[in-house]
Amino acid sequence: MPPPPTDPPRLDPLAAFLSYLVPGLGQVMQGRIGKGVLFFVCLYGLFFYGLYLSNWRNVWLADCAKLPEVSVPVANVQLGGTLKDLSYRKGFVAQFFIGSAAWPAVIQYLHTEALPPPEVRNETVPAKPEWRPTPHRWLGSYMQAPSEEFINELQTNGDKLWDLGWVYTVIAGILNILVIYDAFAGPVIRDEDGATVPDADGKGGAA
Amino acid sequence: MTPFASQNMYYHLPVLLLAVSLVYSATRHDRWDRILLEAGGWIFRMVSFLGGLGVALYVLTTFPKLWPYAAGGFAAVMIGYYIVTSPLFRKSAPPKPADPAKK
Repeated sequence: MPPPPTDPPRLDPLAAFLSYLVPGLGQVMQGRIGKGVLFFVCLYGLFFYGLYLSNWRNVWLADCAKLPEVSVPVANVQLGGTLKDLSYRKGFVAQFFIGSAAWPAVIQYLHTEALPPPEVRNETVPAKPEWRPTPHRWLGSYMQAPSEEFINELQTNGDKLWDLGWVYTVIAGILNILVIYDAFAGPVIRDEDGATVPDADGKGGAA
Repeated sequence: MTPFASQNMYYHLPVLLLAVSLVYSATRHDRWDRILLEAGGWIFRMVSFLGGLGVALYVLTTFPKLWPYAAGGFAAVMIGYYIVTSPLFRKSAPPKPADPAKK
């Protein structure tokens, strides 16, 4: 005898949005407090640990209007605006999904001047003075695009922890996409005992 | 960077393993026993894979002349694994006894 058809999961866009803002907040609103706390601790722990490993300087998005053009390889379409900026900083697409913890980078992106064009260095052209972005009034240099000299110094004389921290922040953002889906439609595998998808009134599911 | 962080980058790996396995498992189940069981399985698989790679690289760099034996052993283990787990070598399920009520 085939098993009875399961009811489709109830979708919860509000919980999904809350889980985007703060990982696990949507699950807490649904009454799944234990899972919400687990998501919060794990994802914020991973994200901020990655930031710590990289001296708090690996989450940013820069205005790349003055940098060389970028085109899509097959379509041969030139990117402009934010798409061009994201193409220079693809990891931020994943970091953005950690939610409000990455919003300082967006604020810095909107308030920081464009990166200068790459410097042409040869024997006749003297090196330009180092470009330094103006610190934000409240955020300072937190999640602000660093100068090219700063990145070169990190890559040349620093250890590999800066890259490792970048990986951690990217993975934290990608994992939060799964958390958002969990808040939106419940867990991927619906347990047969019924203790899976939360009801609209917040009951059901694991605490 | 702090003295602890500058020692060895592999010391930071448990944070990643714990977070990834727990979060991924929690998005697949709602019951804590199943979450922890699946998370433990993922930790075991990831540690086994990364540890196996580390041991293989250590052996190859320490004893560079032993690479044919290491490769042969690895191939033998993989072939044995596929033989054991291949559906061709699994016993088919025994036929169900006839339902006496239908007689």
